[in-house]
Amino acid sequence: MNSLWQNARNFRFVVLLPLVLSLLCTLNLRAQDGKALFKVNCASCHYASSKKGTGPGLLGVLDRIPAGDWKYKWVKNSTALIASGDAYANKIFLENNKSVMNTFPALSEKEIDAILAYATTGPDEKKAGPAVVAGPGAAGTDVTLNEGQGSIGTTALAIIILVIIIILIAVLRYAKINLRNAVHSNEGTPEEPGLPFIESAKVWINNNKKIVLVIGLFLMGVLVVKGWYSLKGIGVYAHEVKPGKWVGYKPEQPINFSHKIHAGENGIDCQYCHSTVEKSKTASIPSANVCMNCHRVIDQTANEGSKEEIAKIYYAVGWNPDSAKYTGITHPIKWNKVHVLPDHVFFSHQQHVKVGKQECETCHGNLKAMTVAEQQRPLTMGWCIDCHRNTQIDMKEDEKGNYAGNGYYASLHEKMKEKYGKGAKITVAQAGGIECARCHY
Amino acid sequence: MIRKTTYTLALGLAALAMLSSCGKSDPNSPGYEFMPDMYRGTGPETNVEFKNPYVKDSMGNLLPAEGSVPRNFTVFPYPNTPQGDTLASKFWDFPANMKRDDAFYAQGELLYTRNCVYCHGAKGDGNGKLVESEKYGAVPPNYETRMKEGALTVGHIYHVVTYGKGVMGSHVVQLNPEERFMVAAYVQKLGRGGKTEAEYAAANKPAADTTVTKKP
Repeated sequence: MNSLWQNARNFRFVVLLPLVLSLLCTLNLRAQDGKALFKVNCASCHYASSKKGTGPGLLGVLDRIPAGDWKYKWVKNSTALIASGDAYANKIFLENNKSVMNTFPALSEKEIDAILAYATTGPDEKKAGPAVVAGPGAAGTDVTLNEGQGSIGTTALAIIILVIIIILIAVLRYAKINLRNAVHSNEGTPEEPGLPFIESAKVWINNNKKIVLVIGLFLMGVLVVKGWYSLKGIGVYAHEVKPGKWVGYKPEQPINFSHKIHAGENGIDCQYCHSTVEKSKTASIPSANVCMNCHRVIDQTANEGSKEEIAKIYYAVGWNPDSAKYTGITHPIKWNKVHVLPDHVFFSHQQHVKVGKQECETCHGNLKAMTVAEQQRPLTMGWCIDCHRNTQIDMKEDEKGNYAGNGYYASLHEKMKEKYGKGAKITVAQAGGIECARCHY
Repeated sequence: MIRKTTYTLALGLAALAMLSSCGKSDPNSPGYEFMPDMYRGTGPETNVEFKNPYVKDSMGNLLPAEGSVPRNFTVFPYPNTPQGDTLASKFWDFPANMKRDDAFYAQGELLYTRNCVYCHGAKGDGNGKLVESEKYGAVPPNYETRMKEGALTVGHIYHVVTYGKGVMGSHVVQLNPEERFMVAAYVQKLGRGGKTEAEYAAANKPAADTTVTKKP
């Protein structure tokens, strides 16, 4: 070691080594740095693909822009460059609706190089998120909203089959009679007088009483079972398959929206879209501009068919993904309402969610697991009343016996204290929740 | 005779099989209604199809008459332009009578977690669930950085929530004016590293100047 320090050449080596290493490090880190810098500085407006965000997509940008110092001038202060009358700067300024790009005076030339090197090649296309992969062909102009007109229904199919069977029977019967007549004429025996249809049917019934009995019983069974289910299902859009488990109305929607993906996997709060649930009688069906808060950027996902479904939103809201502009031509989406209460019942979401602090799941089931929204609660009057009888009102009291819960019930708390005594548990029913006029008026 | 019995038995079995499938109903059909006139109101109702020759596309949900303003509505006078943004960040602030206590910030946090957190992240660093999983391609700014730049004023946040910015859409339908102030207060709190206005002022005397205008 001693000789190393004494040797001037080695000393120079020791000084140079960290320099060389650091240079190598910067070279190695460049791609990584570019990605990180891009995400922090550029990604809110630009994509590292051909897709247009607020600004143009930056895929292949180095091939487009003028060579030399132009890129540094542009990134550091694009406004000044435009004002200086630079031809290309003014051209892209006009192409992008004269939206002003933020200035980045703090970025060094090296950093700008790294960012552009990353952006011009784009991220690894196979590994990248779908939002980055999307090319310019994501047009949504030729889609139409499916309004629930399906193929031939089951009933129509059954009728067609029945008709075919009847025709078959008639043809066979005709062939049989003809053949018999042919045999008779060949043998020279006189033709049997053919019985009319009703007479022959009577004969057949007399000879096959057991079969007739079975068919009769079957028809009766069908009538009884069908009738029973129809009566049970009147006014109820769901039915119980086993105790506590209800399945029911699950209509096909114009857009195959999945609550499972949005609320379940991505954890979007119910109230992001159904935002009026605490403010109004009804929970809003989100307008398409709420979809666009995310789907302006997310034009397809890893899920099959996502691109077509998202294109339906673009069609509905009038968004051209190629030019990243609203066209102004909108087409309302006709969603099918799943949870329907009759007109003679008053129900307020605000009262139940804001005041009563009920979870959405109580009445709507676990939508976070549903691909297609389905009514999984009976929503009958008996079901409502059961809940009103069993649910307690928030009657929290502090040490002094003063009301400390939901402010809405403060005056009710005083009345109930007089009637049922201090600290009593009060159900919704005791507060008048099962009186007729509470819901029917 | 044997043939006939087998025939009968087969028929009986088929009948049973058909009966067992009776209970299933079509998921696209809402079922039967007892006295439909009591089920369906004649007037237009929210979220219900309304068939009327005067209503376009039989929509029950209609926009209010153009130019109508709800009661107690706070009018935001700045337009959706960069100039509007600059003016708003200079002149638009919490109303004088708006008390910014803990409950106010708590409500702001609730609204933030409901509406903003998916992209902007729980800490406001622009690293929300959708951004982190790279499902959402754009990356929102870091509030603390923006606060240091002096760009995170109430007016600016209010302007962005109202009109959107870049790829972020308008959140006007989700948040009413009061709620937008709550969100703005909470966003500023995140920008100050989790300190409310009062806490921050107490920690940094003299109070930091937050009225610096946004760079052009």
